Amino acid sequence: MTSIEGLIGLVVIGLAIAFMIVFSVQDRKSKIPLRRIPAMEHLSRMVGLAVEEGRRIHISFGRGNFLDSHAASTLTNTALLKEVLKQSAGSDRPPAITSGDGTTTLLAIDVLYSTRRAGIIGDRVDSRRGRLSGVTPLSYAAGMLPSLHQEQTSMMVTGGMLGAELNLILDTADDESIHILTASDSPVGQAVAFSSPGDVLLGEEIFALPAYMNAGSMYPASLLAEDSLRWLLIVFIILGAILRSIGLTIL
Amino acid sequence: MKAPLSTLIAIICCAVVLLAYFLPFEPVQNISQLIINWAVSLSGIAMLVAIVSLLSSHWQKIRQKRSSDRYSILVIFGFGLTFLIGLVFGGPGSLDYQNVVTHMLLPIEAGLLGALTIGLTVAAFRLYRANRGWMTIVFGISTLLFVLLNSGIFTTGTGLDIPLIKNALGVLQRLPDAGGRGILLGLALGTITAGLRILLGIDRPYNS
Repeated sequence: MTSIEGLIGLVVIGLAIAFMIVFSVQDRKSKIPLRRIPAMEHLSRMVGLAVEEGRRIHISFGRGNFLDSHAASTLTNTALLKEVLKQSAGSDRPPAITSGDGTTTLLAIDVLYSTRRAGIIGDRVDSRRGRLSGVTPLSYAAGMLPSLHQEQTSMMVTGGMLGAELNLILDTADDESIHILTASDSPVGQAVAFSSPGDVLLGEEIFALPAYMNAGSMYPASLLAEDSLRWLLIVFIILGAILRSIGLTIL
Repeated sequence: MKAPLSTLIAIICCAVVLLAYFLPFEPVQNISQLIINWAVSLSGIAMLVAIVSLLSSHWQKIRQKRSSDRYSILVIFGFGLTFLIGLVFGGPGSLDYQNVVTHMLLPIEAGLLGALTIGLTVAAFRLYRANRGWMTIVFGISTLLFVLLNSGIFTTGTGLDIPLIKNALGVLQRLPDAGGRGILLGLALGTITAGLRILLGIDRPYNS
């Protein structure tokens, strides 16, 4: 990476940190209103309904791991899992988690155990609730399907890296009348999910999950920081296009 | 703050790897490489632990007195067989091992892929049941348009060799790339803020 690109990268990082801190302070002073996303409203309602019915919530972490570009969605899923565990604390059936990577599986199990240690959930949680489903796209889907049939699942959140194989999961969820929210970070997965009757989050909406679950003031601040950076990016893209078309090249 | 030591280690590791990416200082890059190598090794070990957890989970499913899972027997049998074949033929690097495993895996995955193809076709029609408003109409029209565009019907043997039409078709063909890039830019911004939450010690997935 050349020094000018490195410098631009550092400026973007610095700006993001500044935005996050400013918006976090603002959120603590007065709650920042988030835009209405129907899928998020359904999520909170369905978590409550699953607890009332005594049925299970399934969270799928997808196939991404911590060492690739899918790390961010894995982190989002972890924050979501913590919130779902808190909100479903009174449930007879604790949430089940599947993932397609060893590190993510261990992380999910660790979250289950640490939530139990913190006394948020009872002793019903065991390591079988967080498991590796399959490491290739189709084996992941095939490994997940039995848990939808057999585990009294009422709702499911599929996050992380999931491509066209998502359709197999969505089909089964539809057959089993499982309410599903898809938050895939893959454009292919998002396209597949869009055609399903369930809720779907598109683009960067997937990172908004913890903010809508009231996970803390830094999450809505992150969303606003993303929005601010996006507007800056739009301005620079348009500016760059205009300068290029009149024959000026800056970088 | 709970477990300040693990939080401090995470913040330092994050900062070093991030700095090494942007700044061309050799000592920082060497430390960053070392941290990444440790992460890769730990990730391999984590996979082993996850496999053991998977097997134990299926073993417990078999042992359940009420509604014992027969498919779990197949999972454990398949794993054992693959492991044994690996030992006999000399591991995943051996050509014989790859041949055997490929000949088992390919038909199974091809079958699933067939089911997926039908499922995706049905899903395209099911979109109208999903009732996504005007987006359904946009989806339908764009599917038809791009199927026609990519079939070459507008460019071959139709006499439409007019530069203006060719440019317009070129713009249309670039639209999916533009949309895809828009989504990826959004994802990239989300990734930056998620990473920064770890760097600032706000998000601590390793410590609830």
